[in-house]
Amino acid sequence: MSRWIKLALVTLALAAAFHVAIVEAVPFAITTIFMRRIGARLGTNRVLASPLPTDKSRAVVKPSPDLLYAACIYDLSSGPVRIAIRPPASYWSLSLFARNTDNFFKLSAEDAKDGRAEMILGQAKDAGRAKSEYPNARFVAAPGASGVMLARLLVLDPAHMEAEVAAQNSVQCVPATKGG
Amino acid sequence: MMGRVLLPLSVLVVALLLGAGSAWWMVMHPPTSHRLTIGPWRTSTDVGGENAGMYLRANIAVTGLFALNTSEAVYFFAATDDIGQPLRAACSYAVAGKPVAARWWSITAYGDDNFLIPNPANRFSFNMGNLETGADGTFELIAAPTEQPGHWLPTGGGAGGFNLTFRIYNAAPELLANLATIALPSIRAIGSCA
Repeated sequence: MSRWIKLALVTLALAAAFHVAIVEAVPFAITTIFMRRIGARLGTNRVLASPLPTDKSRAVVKPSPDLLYAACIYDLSSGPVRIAIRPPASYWSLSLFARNTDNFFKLSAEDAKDGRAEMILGQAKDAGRAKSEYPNARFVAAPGASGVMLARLLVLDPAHMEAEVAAQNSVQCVPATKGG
Repeated sequence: MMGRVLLPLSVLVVALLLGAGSAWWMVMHPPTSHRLTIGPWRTSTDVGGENAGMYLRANIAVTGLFALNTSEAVYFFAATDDIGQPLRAACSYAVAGKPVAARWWSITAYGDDNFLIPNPANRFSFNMGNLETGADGTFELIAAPTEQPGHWLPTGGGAGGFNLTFRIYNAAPELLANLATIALPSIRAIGSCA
């Protein structure tokens, strides 16, 4: 094999390695930027509620102008997190995203009970304690120690969105402490 | 001596350029075994899910971060009209179709940067609550740079393009089971460009 062919093969092998590394890194990098932005403003395990998106909204690409959003950077390093909402009558969901952007769980209308929907997000080892301390909450094992919770609440008529704003303000994302 | 340094460095730079360029192209044109194309609209049933694969996952991170998986929401994207011409912000389009069986649905316009388009009416989308249908059960909106009678969806004007997203939340089970045959709105160029 000539020296130039070897060189071309080495270049292609390296290019393939760079290709895979870059593609795999993109979701993590973009999620990390989002988490750092929100985290710098608010810290972790706290909810950031936003008004209806407009052309000036730049937090996330392609926001829906028909949805009120509330975001929380969850951090399970100190234990499970309790996520809850007092749902409105219109469409809503609480969705959980891993750092690679996978939507690994969501809570929505069918999960509400007695005007409330609640989940405990933790690591697999937390399941037993969470189920005994929060019998009415759904336990969700997270694939990693941190990620994003995003609440979506539909506003069909922005002139009458009091109920949706109240529901948005009811979203909780807090460390799960016994009885809390 | 220079050759010993320059050659490996050149290999590294060329490999990096090739790797980064091909990565970006593949991220923006992700192959997927579950891609659906209906007229000018396209989607993937793997969006948001664990089966997304590295290219689709990266594509969604760039073009629609935190998309929900198909069991909750289906997102159809269109960047061309019915005959495959790119949507231009300076041109006008009639977007016509029928409501779909779902908890709610909407049609939103985005600029080339994938953010909402500034416009004097502060109108960014139409949804099932404000897009009226005619006696035949169909709706029509006009995506255009200047104000239009009826349902005007501003495109912003200028030299760039725009794209549309059709969101379907909590699709009816029969719709979800037959996504490939769903009737989506047509996108037809009308009039002359501004």
